[in-house]
Amino acid sequence: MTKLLLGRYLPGDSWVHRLDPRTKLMASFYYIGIIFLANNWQSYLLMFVATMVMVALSKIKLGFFLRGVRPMIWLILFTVALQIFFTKGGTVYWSWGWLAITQYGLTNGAFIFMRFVLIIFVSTLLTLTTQPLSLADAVESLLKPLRRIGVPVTELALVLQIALRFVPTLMDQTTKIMNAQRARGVDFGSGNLFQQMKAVVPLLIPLFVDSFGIAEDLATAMDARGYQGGDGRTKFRILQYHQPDIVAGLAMVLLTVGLVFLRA
Amino acid sequence: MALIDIEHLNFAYPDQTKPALRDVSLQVNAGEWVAIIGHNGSGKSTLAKNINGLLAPASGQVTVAGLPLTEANVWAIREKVGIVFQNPDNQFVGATVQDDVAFGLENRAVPRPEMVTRVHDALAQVNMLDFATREPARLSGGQKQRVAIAGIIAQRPEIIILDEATSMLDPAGRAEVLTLIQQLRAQTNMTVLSITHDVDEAASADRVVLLNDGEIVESGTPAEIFTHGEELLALGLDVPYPERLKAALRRAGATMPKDYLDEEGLVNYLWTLHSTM
Amino acid sequence: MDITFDHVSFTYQAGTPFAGDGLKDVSVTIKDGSYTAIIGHTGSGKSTLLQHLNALLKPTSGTVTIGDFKITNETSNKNLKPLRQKVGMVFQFAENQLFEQTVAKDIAFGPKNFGVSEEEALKLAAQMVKLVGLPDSVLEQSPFDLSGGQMRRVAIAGVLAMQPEVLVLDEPTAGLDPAGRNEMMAMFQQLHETQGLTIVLVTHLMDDVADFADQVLVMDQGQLIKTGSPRAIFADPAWLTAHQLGLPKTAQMAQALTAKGFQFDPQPLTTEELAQQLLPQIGGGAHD
Repeated sequence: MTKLLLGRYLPGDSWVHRLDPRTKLMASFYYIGIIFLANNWQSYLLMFVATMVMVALSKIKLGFFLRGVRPMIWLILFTVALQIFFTKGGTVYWSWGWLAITQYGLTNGAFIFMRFVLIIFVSTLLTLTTQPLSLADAVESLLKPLRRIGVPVTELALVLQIALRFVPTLMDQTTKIMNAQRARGVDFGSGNLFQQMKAVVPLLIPLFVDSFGIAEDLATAMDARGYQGGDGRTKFRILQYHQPDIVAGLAMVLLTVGLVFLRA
Repeated sequence: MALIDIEHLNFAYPDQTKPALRDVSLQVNAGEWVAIIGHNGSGKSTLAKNINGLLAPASGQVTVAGLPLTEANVWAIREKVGIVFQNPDNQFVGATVQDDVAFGLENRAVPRPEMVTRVHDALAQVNMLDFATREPARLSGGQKQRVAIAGIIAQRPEIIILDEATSMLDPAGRAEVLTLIQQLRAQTNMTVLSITHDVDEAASADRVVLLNDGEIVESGTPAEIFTHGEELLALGLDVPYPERLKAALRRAGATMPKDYLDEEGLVNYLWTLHSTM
Repeated sequence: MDITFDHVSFTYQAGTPFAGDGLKDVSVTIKDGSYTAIIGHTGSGKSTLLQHLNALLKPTSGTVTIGDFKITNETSNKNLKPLRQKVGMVFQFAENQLFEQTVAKDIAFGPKNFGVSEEEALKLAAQMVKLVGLPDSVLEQSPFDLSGGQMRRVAIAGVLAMQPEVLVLDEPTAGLDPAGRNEMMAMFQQLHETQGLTIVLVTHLMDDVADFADQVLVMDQGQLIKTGSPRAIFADPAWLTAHQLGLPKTAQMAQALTAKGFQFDPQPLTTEELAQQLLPQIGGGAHD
């Protein structure tokens, strides 16, 4: 069940943990953007070293990052295989009809593999070091300008926050209802597809009913506590940039410069 | 004038033919603790929701701190009335304890520096400061209700309504919440309206109002109400243990006084009989 | 059908919210036809123990024997159905398990899963509705149109319809009002007496333990720290208080009276017992 969560936050007090979530969010997107600039061994090596430095700074074991790659491995291998077989150019090592393994194919395959792994490492780093709630705060803060064109950013942020808040509650409820139905003779996860789908009904309906009950109670409680919509509210949770955030920003700039310098 | 003044209140839910409240009139004075008791479905919670406009009365008048309950006044009234609801989980809006306590203050646009102080003070008052950054999933039911109470006292309302706030808790959680309310009353003289079927909670109140099928049947001090032991049982309610023991003694053939005695009172009374034998 | 725990330990997977709240070396027998109460504060391992009674959880080490079934760490998840049919579980807030369009269908759901024909299952539903004290008219109603207390009864009927030999009740009266609570406890007592159902009750309410149970298991930090009759368990108030457990109201009262010079032998457990023992000590009551 825990696999379904938006990544998994690992509490810690590393340099990366302490960065402002906005910095981490922006830097991750930025990093994923500039990785597409890398196009030779030197530039990929630079990106690899940079990623490893970030991983080291987070003080999180490498194993957690590798675990992030695992669910994607088939997609990665498939893409790499496409690159290998369909890129033409350089020395031909093997060919069969229109399929061929070439020098360029192999290099491209290796680069694509590297790109995938680094992107996964960086996004894993983001979710491992940032609480979902802080991420929600960061999204809200970064999207604030969109309020001017009528996007209800604060409401969306509250919705996201409440959703995150109720994930454990609903998971708990799911376990309870599953147990109750198993005790009434339901086999979850056995039989053919049709039987399995049928087994889910006694789980889903109570969960829906329960969710509606929660929603109704929650709306009443929010009403009673004076919630009248997103406008005119003050905020308890605030975000503040500190010196490390500037350092992180500068590091991204230097990384870009290095990348532009090294790429072919 | 009474802090809460309810005059001839009637209310019916749209999908039901039977009215949920019938001609209810009730005054609660500042600083008073009033318990409203009645079995499930007697209209207790409906009454609470009619006080702060979560439900709109069909007829009759509700006045809170001098403000008649109208569309225009409803938010001002909600600022004066805090409600702790039954389900500890479903009223926990914030992602952490302190966020939840701050929720009501955010809604009222309290400036952040003041918010920080008020959240801190409220958590200190309910003895939950150590849990300020905890997530609700890691709290017990009693702790969640204490957080809900902190969220209310942070707003500094004049009235706190406990809407079956202890009915889903275990005995330890129930005692935790009840002790807290007694402490807060001693410190702040807050007006409390508790809606309950817990006799211990009702026994702590200054006045008990007995509701049955949407009507007020009886109103008086706990001692006055609890002398109607048999009637309470007939209405689906509990009676305090001393009343149950007196009833058992009567069945065994003893003559017992009519007046309500609390546990200590009954022990002393029995002791007098014992020593004069 | 006896249920025997033989050196049962259970550890939750690390990282789950329940980690730590497992079982440590529990050995106990719940006899066929008994009424056993399990007490202990929240997090003592009560619910973990409970889920071993029908193999929703399997011991990490040790053996649970339920009638002819032996459950160990190696037991496969297949073929547990006959066991689940024999041990009916009423979870806390059992009304949350309702899902069918009609009350009749929901009650019939369990038996049908255990191979009872549709027709037979609906017949059982009609019987069970009566047994839990609901009118026939609810059978064709949606369970979601009933009151909370009625929904709870429908859920219990759904478990009884499986015709279990053991009925496990986890805080079955939580959230009910006093009248509902009394009626429900009386109903279980009647099932116990007339149908010979073995009952396992998990509760915080010491009065219910005193009134109904013949065996009490006290759990603390995953361990079974005491087993005995209610009278034996409640005879030691200091021990109970030290383990954050309460006393039944009658025992509290008897304790207060003993401090004033009254004498009770044996310690009274119910209000009636206390009254009987008090009567000679107060000279039959006031003389007016």
